[in-house]
Parts: sequence; structure tokens; C-alpha cells
Amino acid sequence: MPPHFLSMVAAELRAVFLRLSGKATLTLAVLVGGLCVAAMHFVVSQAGDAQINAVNIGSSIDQSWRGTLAWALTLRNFFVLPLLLVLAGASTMAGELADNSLREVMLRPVSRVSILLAKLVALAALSASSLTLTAAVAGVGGAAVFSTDAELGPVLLGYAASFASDLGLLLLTLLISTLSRSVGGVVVGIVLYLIVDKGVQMLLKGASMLGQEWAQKAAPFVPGNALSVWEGWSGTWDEQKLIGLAALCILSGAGAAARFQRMDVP
Amino acid sequence: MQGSAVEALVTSGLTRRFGGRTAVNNLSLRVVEGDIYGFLGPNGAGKTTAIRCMLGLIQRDAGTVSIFGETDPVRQRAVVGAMVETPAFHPWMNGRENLERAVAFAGRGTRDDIDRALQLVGLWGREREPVRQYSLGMRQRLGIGRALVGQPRLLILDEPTNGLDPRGMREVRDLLGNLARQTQLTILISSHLLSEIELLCNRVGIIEGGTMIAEGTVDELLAGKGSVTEVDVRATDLDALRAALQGMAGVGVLSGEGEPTDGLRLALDGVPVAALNRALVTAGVEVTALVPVQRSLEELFLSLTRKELT
Repeated sequence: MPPHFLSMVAAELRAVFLRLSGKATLTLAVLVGGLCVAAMHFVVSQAGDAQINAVNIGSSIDQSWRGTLAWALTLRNFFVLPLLLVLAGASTMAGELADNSLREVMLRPVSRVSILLAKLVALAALSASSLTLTAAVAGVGGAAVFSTDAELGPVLLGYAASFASDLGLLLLTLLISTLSRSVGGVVVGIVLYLIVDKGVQMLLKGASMLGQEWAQKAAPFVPGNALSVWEGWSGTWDEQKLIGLAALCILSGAGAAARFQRMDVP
Repeated sequence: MQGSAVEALVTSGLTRRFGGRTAVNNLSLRVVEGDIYGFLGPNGAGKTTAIRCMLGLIQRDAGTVSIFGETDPVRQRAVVGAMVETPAFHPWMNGRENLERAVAFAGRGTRDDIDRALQLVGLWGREREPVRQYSLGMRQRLGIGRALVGQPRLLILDEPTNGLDPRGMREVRDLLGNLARQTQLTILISSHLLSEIELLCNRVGIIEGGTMIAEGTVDELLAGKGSVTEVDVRATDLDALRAALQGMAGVGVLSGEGEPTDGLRLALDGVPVAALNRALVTAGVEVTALVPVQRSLEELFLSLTRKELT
């Protein structure tokens, strides 16, 4: 890495956070946290003695700051924030390739791999900031409205795992960006990936139901499953999903670096 | 300048193919420290592709590039400032922020360097405005300013007046003139503005079909060193003049555009003008004027490339 790598990262942070996609990511991260606190308060206050499957709704909800944190984690990972992170990643790579602003950086005495890494660090900082904002709003709001009488360790570990999932998604976005060189192309690429991924998951599930043991073993390694590794916080961590996520990160990162290193820049 | 001078940029056998088309073909050029080098060629001649190869933006199929003796592309760019065609910026950032970004990636350069570059390109006082509000000419000047930050020794400007209206072209032309006068930079400029190149540059390379077809100092190329010199000859009796030229070795009569109505345009192949004059007087021709033809770079360019400029 060049000795001035930190100043490169600082410049990338400025670009990533000042873009519309960056500002939208942070704004929505705050909204998701607040919305979950408000939603839980509404459900609890309106539930009364209502029951589902003979279970009182109010009592089935974890009415503490852990509960609001858990709801916020689920909501932020339900397409909303990941999609914005994909947009942020696509804008910083494919967008800059398309409008030639990346070329200007590549005229400087730095290797292409270090440029890619500076972008990844800035995008990872955006993900971490969004998670921190969501957690802060949901946690503080939950503590104010409900109680602090619950241990936060597991759910905060879920936030940490969500950061790892974001990294996998961002590396995949960078890889597709080097292939498509347009923000629209990246969005189409990610949608196609999600369709194919879902199809593979369904096939493996079907094969598992038919007693195919190999399909059951392979299912957690499918990228889409691996990216949901954060769900493990409420139960047990799936080691295979973690391995799958690590493999996704390594393959996407290596692919993006190899492609970026060789590509012609107009 | 050629002997023990420091070589700023040397390419050797530079080649780049796109499918079956060879965009740059075995291109060799030499820019010496202190040169203002004009890189000329008609549209599609391969100038921009060659420059992108030199800067490592695109892969090359063959050949080498050496910048101040350095062959590693990353280390080469430490001493190069470049602007390739239309410069691109982050439009939501202001002019200064875009230059700060360049400094951050260059790893060298200070606030003073940015101030100096902004002053040199005439954007001092406008640097806090978002780039999206800049005119095309201002963006072009900001692009040149960005190439100047990071303390480069070699400046490579590809079509710096591309797409500009006459006012913008004038702005950039004046800027390049100031740069050449005020800095000690070695500059390579690719351009269609031949008259400006002629005024600015001391050395010129002309490329066509990806191949270098002429290279040398402007004076050398215009004087037709090693080739043909043209002269206009006027005499009281044109028939006597034609008769005297019959069978004279190394002298040919030209016809076409620019030919004098009261004389002849001659091509002298290795024949000194003084020797021609002596031969004509000896033959009894009353010569009233004998004027070497001063060719402009544009005429030379057109005669070499045989293409209309666009």
C-alpha cells in the first residue's frame, strides 16, 4: 500500500458520504431505528388482550431495548439498507468508471489495487456508520420507551455479523461494477444474481426434501444464505454460513481486483 | 538539446491493437527535458490511444515506455501530470475540493500548490463554486490545474481544447502560453490547433495510422531538412526561365495552389538556392525575385497526412 493510503481513504470517505446514495443510507438508517421503536410502541399499546395461536401478542414481544434493536436489525436487512449500500458501491466504482472520474484518480502514482481497497474501506465505513446509527436510535429509543432490562450481547453480535454480510455484498457489488461499468448494469446484475441465487436455494431445498443429503449440506454455502449469516444472533450461529460468507468475500474481492487490474480505462 | 539531455519521455515500439485494428503501431517518440512537444495527427490517428498507453490507462500489446528513466507505471506517474481529453470531476464538489482529492491520491502537494495551480489557470476566486456550475472552458482549465498539482516534471495534455467554443479555446491557448513561459515543465500536447502548436512547441511528432511519420524540431520539419526545399522564382522572361531549367539536375517545376502568377515554384532537391541563382544568371535569365517558400506547420501536416483537418 502507498504511504499516503490514509489520505486516499479520507478522500474516498468524503466522496462516498457526500453522494446522494451515502446521505440516503445514513438518513434511512436513522429512520429505520426510529420507526421500529414507534412500531413496537404502537403494536404493544394496541394489542390489548389480542392473541395469536392462544398466545398474548403483547407478552410475545420482547419489550426492551433488545427488542427494538432486534426489530431494527431485521428491518434494515430487509432489502432497504443493503440496496442502498449496493447503490453506494455501484456509484463509487461503476459510476466513476462511466463518468471517467475514476480515470483521474488512476493517473496518480497509486496502484489500482490500493484504489479498490480505499473504496472498500470507505464503503465499509458507510455500512458501519449506518449500523451504528440504526443501533443507537433503536437502542436509545427502546431504553426510553421500554426497558433496559435485557442483555444486549447477542443482538449486538447480530449487528457485527450484519456488517460482515454488508462486506460480502459490497465486494460482490465492486466485482459486478468492474464487469458492467454502469450503475444501471450493477443493479440489473444484482437483481439477476438474486434471482439465480433464489433459484439455486429452492432447488437445493427441493433436493433436501427428496432426501439428498449433499443438498442439505450445500445449502448454507449458497451466497444468498451466506449473506443472511446475521440471523444467527437469535439462535445458533451457522458455521457453514460463515464459511460461505468468507468464501464469497474472498472470491468477489479477488475477482474485482483481478478484473480492475487488467481493465482498459477510456 | 539532443546529446546529453535528460530524456523525459521515451516510447519504443509502442503497439496497441483492438481486435484486428492496430490503433498504435510500433510508435517510438522521444521527448527531452524542457521540450514543449507537439503531438499531432488527424482524427483517429491514434494520439489518444498512444497517450493512454503511455499513462498506463490501457494495456499495450508491445513496446516500452520510459519516463525520466523510470519504467514502473506507478512510479512513472509520480512525476507526471496529465489531462486526457475532457477532464471529469465530482460535480457536487467545488473546484478546490476536486484538487484536494487529486492531492490526496498523489500523496504530494500542499495547500500552497493548490492555490498556485488555481491562480495559474485563472480560477482563483471561483474555486469555491461547485464544478457543476463551471463552463466547459473553466472545467478544462481546472483539469489543467489538477494536472499541475503534485509537482509534476512532465505534463501530458491530450486535446486540451477539445469541444471548446472559440472563447474557451482562446482561454486555454493563453493558459498554455503562460505555462510554457512561467514554468520549467516538460510538456507534451496533442492538439489540432496547428498554428498554436507551431508557436508553442519546439519539437513536433506527427502520427498517422498509429505510426510516427515525422518527428523533429519545428524548424527542421518546416525547413524540410534532408528533403526538398521549395522556392518561388520570378524573372522578366518566363520562357527563358523555363528553357534554362530544362535538364538542370535536382530542380523540378511545381504547379498548383500557391504558385506565383508571374513566376514559377520550384522544388530543389539538394540544390542550394544560391547555386540555382548563379546557374540562372549564367544562363542569361534576368531573375527579379528568388524567395524560399515559408511553409506553415499546417501545410506540412496536410502534405504529410493528406487529410483535411476537422
